[in-house]
Amino acid sequence: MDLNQLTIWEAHEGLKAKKFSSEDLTNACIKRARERNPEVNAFVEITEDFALEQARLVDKDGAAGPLSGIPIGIKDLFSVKGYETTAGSKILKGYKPPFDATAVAKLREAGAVFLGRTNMDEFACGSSTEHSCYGNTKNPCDLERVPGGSSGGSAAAVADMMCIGAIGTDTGGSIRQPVSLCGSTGLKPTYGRVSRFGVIAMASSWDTVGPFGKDVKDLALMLQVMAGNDKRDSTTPERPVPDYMAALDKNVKGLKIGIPKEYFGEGVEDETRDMVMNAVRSLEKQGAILQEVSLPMTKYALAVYYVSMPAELSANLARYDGIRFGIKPSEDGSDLEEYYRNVRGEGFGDEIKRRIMIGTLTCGVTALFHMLVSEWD
Amino acid sequence: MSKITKEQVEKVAKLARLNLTPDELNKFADQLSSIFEHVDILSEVDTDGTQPTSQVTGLTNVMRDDEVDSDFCSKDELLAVTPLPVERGQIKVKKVL
Repeated sequence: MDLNQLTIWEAHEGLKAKKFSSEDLTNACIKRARERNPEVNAFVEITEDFALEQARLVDKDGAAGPLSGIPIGIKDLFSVKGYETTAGSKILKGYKPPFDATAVAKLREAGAVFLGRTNMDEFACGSSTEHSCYGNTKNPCDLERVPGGSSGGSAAAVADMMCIGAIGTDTGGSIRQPVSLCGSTGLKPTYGRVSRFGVIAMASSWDTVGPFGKDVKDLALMLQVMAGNDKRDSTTPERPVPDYMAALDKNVKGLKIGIPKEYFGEGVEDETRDMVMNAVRSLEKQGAILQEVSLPMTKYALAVYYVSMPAELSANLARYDGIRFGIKPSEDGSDLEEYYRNVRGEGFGDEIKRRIMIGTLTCGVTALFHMLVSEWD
Repeated sequence: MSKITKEQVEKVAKLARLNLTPDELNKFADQLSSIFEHVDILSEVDTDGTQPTSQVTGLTNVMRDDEVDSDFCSKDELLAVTPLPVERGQIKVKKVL
């Protein structure tokens, strides 16, 4: 078995027993990524020198915690001090944040090795990783198919064994859906569990940060490191972080699981429904109590999302004005307003422009919205 | 709901500070129309008596001391990432008026 195929826990055991070094492990991942990435395009940058430097440091000091010396992919949305971070957008090309996101700082502290940044839909807007200024990511299981999104790069990189673990974000499915499509494992934590500080914002009241791995144990290990209160993110409650590894030994006996019937209705393929129901039955066999529930407003969820999400997005993306960070427009224009319009017109992709305009209508300019609505009626 | 026109897109794009090409204006007029058409199903929902949800953590008024948090990076490091010229600790932009 090649080293890049190991789970985090297996790799940790190997490092601890000195069966191989973190440099060996990192090199195995780099080799795999160099071979596969030209086709899959899961990584937009492989930070080889940086990764090897971190790996050698761990080898010198000895692997401490379970993430020590483990090569991970980082979604291009997390600020990594001194390394380009662009949210998959041309408007941030060349931007190197002068600080680490809190989640990144915690992983760095835990000794994780940063293999590079993974591809994503621009500003995390999309569910296919087709809206990136770096081109599409392909599903490693079948290159003709999408990997899901927006964290498609992280999901594909882990599924294709280019890295041992990865991190990403989930606002409206951006971890859950790509891991499901690629066959890796991911977790969208409860809102506020992991700090959003230094994570480029999409829709702040939903954005969550979560781990990607090859199994659930990997997720527990990564979440253990990233979770907790952060004074730089006021939406992270001061609740103690439980021991997630200990929770893995528990069983599901007596656990009541709701199965919303609307989720299995129109638009779900038979094969998908069967797979999910197989998993559900397996839980039942282990003692979980299943109960059908009804969420009758489900059919309105997407429409609600398309009002609220763009409102937050357009407000968050107002900061990309070509002044404090990112690119300059090719034509400066005659005044500041023209400069803004030029840089945003050139720097944002189609999906972002669409959502900014929807958000501008639904929240930014109430008066205009009413005017337009009365005209449309 | 009738279709969103090219002129309306132009107006919104101006407010959102987005320069759009004529092709984009036409394309977005069609696309925004169909998005709003979908959102229109919300008008059939009765929300009387529904409490608004503005957050989920239950936290209220999280305060901190009014002090500059300069542990994570310095002013000079922040100024170093602008694509524009820096003069006397400030970023120089195009004229405003």
